[in-house]
Amino acid sequence: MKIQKTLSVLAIASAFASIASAQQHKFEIDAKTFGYRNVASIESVADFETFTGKTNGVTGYIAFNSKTKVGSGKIVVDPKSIDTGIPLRNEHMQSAGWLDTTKYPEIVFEAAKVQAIKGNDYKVTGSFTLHGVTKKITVPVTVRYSAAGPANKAAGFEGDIVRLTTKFNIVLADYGITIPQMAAGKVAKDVTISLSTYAISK
Amino acid sequence: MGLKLQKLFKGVGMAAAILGALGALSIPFVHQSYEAKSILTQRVQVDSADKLFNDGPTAIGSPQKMIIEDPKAVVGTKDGVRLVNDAYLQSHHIYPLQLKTVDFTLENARTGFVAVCAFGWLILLLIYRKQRREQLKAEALTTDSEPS
Repeated sequence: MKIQKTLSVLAIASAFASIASAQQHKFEIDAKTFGYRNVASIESVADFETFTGKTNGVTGYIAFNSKTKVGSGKIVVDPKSIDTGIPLRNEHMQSAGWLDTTKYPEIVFEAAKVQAIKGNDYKVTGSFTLHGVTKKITVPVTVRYSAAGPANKAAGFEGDIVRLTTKFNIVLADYGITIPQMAAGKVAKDVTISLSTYAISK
Repeated sequence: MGLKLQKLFKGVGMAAAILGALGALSIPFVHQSYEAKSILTQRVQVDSADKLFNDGPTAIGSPQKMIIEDPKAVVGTKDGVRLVNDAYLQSHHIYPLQLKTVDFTLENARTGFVAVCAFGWLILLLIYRKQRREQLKAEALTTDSEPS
């Protein structure tokens, strides 16, 4: 009797777990097919000029439930592919004195806690890794969902998709990146990181 | 100092003072001409998927006052901000000039011109003082040598 009861509790628990996992869809950031649509950028507003480094090198996944608005995810940006519009500046940006992309080939954000704010807006807390330094940050994120259908197909997507956008500031010194005296006035101490990415259901 | 050298320094001083003053005075006009050409611009990535969520194109960075002379780069306007296609700029190797870069450079140039002008005036002042001293010396000698 006792064994039967335990088994039934386990069965119910496993049923709930499978429902929960079924509800949380996994969306993949397909860098090969739709890489050109995903944009990560870093903007520095300094006295001399404002420059923006841009890359389509974004990969990762978003696990998201459009009904319960619960989710998680991991976004990886390839810093080697960041283009500032000037080849020499790209070289400097990737060098050991700056992002040191040979030693730290990934910029990563991994969500740990997602809090729904209003509509499609969320507050996501997670670990952000840049230049080998990981810090816990909270960023504003907008996630929008579009179910598979003619509209998605017209835009070139097969299946359900989510679009994730975010924008937040970081202080470079917090991540061990110091601006040489020579570049003072040309590079800001704090930069804005933006991301706009599409992820497709798998 | 010989008379020839004095003349040369006087010429250099005068040229520096005039050029420095003209340069410093021309800065506002140069600024105006660049400002007239610059427009608040947002670089964007254009994609057919933009319509899916009724979004505009994806913004790359923030709007800046820029000078872009190729009209083919412009893809539209939003809230008074000109939208330019980033892919077009990249494929045509256009790195837009920002008004703030022009202003920064002009501000440094103004400081340089004022310094050159001041240097010119300083040379002229030193020469004038030297000439005045020599003139007074000569006058004193003339007075001394006159019979009483």
